[in-house]
Amino acid sequence: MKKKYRAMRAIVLTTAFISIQGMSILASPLRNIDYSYDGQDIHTNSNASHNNSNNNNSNNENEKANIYGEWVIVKEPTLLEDGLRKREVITGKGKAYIEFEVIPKLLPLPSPVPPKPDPPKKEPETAPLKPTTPSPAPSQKETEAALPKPSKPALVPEKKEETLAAQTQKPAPLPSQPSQTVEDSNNKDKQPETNRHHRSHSGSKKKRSIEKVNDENKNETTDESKASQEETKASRSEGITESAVSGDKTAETKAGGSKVGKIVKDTPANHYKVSGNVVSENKAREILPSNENAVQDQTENQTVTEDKIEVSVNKTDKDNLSKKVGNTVSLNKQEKGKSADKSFNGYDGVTLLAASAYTWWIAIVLLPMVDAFKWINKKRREKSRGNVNKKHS
Amino acid sequence: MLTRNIVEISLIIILFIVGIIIYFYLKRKIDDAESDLVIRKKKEIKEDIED
Repeated sequence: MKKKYRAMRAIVLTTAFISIQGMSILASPLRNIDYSYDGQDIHTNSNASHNNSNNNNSNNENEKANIYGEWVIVKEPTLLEDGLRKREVITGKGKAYIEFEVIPKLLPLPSPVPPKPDPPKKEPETAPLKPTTPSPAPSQKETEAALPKPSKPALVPEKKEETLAAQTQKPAPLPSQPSQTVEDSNNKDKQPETNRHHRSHSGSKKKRSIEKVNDENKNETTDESKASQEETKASRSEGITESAVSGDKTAETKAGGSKVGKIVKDTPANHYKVSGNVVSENKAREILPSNENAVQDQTENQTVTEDKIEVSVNKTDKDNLSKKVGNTVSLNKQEKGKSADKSFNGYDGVTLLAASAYTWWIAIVLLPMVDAFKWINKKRREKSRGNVNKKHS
Repeated sequence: MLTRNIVEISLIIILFIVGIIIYFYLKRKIDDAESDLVIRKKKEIKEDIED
């Protein structure tokens, strides 16, 4: 009997230990073992060249829980429209879902700006505006003395904006400004003498600086006018490309293809590793049929040479693509399923609890019943044999 | 759920069912042994009556 009680105690202790571990696992279902939430990569408006796969690789903890596929461009961005890309994510529990991300519009490449001459060093003393058309020197002095003096680096972006607008608008505001500024300067001259002196000195200094600047500005204006003209030409060329986008689709591939090519080049090694249910993919395709048709037209010329990627979809070959995707999905499922089996789930904890409770019940209830049953049978045999055994015992 | 978990749960359910069956069988036998009812043959009863 003592041996039985010792065995019972050992069984009780082991079951208690296992049950406690199982309860702790059940109490914390959101631990990193199963899955983790990564809010960075979900529906973030990142740039087209931004590659999230590198970030995913850096986060080792998330890799253990979530398995991210690679980005697949569904719709390529253009100058007019945003693009779209997607990837599949598999959580630790085996759930798969598709993640979409918007690719922002492509910005027109800025034209090469000529190197800035020395005047940028004299920013506080420089003139505010630099009209492209040549204006008389004295009027400029008065105007530039009265007008505010912003820094020169701001002029370059301002000129970009101006190049986008019509050039003819530039001379129009300029003549109005001198008249106003002359009046202001005259009004200022009418103020008390102290201010006049200061202003005269300051004005003389300003005039001297302005004279120097004007000479330099003239040179700059000529250079910048050329640069602005070049920018306008570039913008016009881009506008032509933009107009071609709406018309010819081939033009898009050529003009936008170069830019799209850049994007593609940034991610040359991306493999279209579709992982998850094919049903989810079909649903995603149903949601985006129009985009796919547009993408199909664009991607007819573009073909992905990678092994697993099948981006070049023909309108008539959708079924073949679904089959191929299904094959890749099955392969990836097998690969990822193997890695997911090794993890300890909550279900394992529940099974451990059930097993421990069951062993507890067997040790306390069933085993005594079995012993009793054995004793009963023994007595019955003794009775059936009669008094023979009693005499000998 | 994974296949591993499904197999584990199924095994536990099967063992639970087997344990219940064994429990009820043994309980019946023990109750019969503990009960005041005695199963006796007719010959023994007649002999006792004659006695």
